[in-house]
Amino acid sequence: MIQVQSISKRFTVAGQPFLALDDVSFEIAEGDFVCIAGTSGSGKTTLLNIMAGILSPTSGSVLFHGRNIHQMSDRELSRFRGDHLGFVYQSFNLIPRLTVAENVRAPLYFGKKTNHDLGRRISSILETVGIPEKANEYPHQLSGGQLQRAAIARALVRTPSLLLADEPTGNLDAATGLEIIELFKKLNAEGTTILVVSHDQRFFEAAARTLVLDFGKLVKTTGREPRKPVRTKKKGA
Amino acid sequence: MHGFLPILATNLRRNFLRSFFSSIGIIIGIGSLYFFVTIGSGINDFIVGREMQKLPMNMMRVRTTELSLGVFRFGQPDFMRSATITEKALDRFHSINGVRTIYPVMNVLFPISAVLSFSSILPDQSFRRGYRTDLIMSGAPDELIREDIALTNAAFDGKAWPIPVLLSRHILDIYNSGFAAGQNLPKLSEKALIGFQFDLILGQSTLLRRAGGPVTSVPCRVVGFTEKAEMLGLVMPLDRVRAFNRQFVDGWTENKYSSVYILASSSDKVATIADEIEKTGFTVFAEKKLSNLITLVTFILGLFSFIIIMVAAISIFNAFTVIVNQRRMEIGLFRSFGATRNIIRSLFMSEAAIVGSATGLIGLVLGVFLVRGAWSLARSFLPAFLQSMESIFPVSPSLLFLLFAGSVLTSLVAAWVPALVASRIEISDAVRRT
Repeated sequence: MIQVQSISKRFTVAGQPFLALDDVSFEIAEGDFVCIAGTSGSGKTTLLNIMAGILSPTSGSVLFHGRNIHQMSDRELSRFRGDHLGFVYQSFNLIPRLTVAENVRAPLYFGKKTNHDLGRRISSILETVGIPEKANEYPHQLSGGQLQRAAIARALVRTPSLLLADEPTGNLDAATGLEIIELFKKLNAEGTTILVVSHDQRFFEAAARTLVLDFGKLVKTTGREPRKPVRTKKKGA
Repeated sequence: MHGFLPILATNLRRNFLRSFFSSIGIIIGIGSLYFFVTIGSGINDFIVGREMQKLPMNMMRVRTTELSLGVFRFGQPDFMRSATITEKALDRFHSINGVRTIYPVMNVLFPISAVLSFSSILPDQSFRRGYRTDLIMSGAPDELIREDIALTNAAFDGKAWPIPVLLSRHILDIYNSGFAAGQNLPKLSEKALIGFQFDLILGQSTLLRRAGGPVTSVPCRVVGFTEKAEMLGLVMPLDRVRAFNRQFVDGWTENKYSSVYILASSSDKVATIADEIEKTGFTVFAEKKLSNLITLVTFILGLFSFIIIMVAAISIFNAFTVIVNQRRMEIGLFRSFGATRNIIRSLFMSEAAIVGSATGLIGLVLGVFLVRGAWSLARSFLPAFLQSMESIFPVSPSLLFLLFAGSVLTSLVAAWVPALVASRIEISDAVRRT
């Protein structure tokens, strides 16, 4: 599904060149659960942003179903992100003035109009992530774990091809973090392709494959090889 | 873009107060601009258009600096000083470079009144009552008013009998719009009054009587209507008025005119001629000059309004800049949801357009009410028979549209840069880890 080919990224920091990523290559197949691990400053988030089309690589390419996303126009890239990617952030990034249901619905404002019953869809997704009763509450009324579940629900509402998560348990306590990891496992079992950036050990165990970065280089890959492309029925689609 | 509107609605609800307060300047600016322009053009039309009797652009009217309205000053020595355009002054005017022709006008300077009977034009028995009214009478040369004579082959000289007179159109307006209704009389047209005869009482008005001397009645006949009469006045041949003043005004030794119409060789010369004349102590009413003055005053006042609007634009710019900064995370999220830069920009520009429309509308409503209030106030100072006049400040649809468009445009221009900045926010910066 996604092929990362020889990605390198160079920044200039205080006038000095800094190589954040150095010739990184790997593949993610449909249905995979991949974790990108590494210490702080190893290039994990930079790699995630390049794969999402948010950042452009200095060299290399990211192919999504054979098409280089960094050769797309802003319009095409925006559509790609909206139609195929779901984002989960460490700091949740829910919109404070919207309810949970409205936050979950927000990505739908920028997609194609559908005839689906949106209310039912949102309820179904909230049920999937375990907070159906929180639909009409505001972010400030939720706990950290509930906030992250709402953020995950928002990321899933457009049935993305790939769920990207950047340190999703970074702001959560151990117990709540574990709940979130279990949720990710459940989603993957239901067919969602997941790419998580984390230094949380528990994700290494949960993910089918872990890619370890060190000073921008891919130094180790553990776990099984990328799955062959399969079609799975996704719940709630 | 199908969900654009819900987001817009939420944003407007959220930012309503901030947007409103930052746009108050537009409300005040648009309202005051509408007020000044409407008042200015209304006064221009009324004074220049009516009071100035729609003079050609190369014609001006010279008066003595002390304006006289005849009827309340008859027989008083002090009054004589107001008629100080002498033959010598006329010669001086003639010698000014650019003056082509001069037409002196002389007011009747003793009490006069008219006895009107409408039986000849209103045969119904109920209208046979006679009415007596004071008048303002002036004498003008035939060349000045020749085109206003409607009665075929009517002579307009000192020998014509009955004495030919031209009525001010304002008299007919006032009669039709106020007097007729009050007295249960039918309205009259200009055509109905051509040829109408009445008696002029020389030496006596309803309020005054000339001290000593006879009171004489002379027959007059309406031969037309003119814009060159005083607002409630009549015009008869200049030779007649000269003769009457000589006969009825004590101490009348030389001709003294109350005003002079001066025809310039071109409208460009008007300002220079006017300056020359005003140096000698007279007041010049030139349509172009007065119109320019009114336009200048309107422009200056309008400029203040424009400045208020510009300050409001800066305020809107600041408000939107703050909003964009506050919504960085949200903008980054929308971009990650699939919003293009165009959509982000359009979101803010739409918000600005709505704010501009709302404030423009409120400003125009305020302006219209201010104008109405001004007219109500002005009308209360007018004589009773003028109070029924329609407003001289009519609502101008084109001005309303122009100012509304201006308000929207101002808001859009003010929000353009913040909207552009918003569209260029990088997702990674906006949703950075906290």
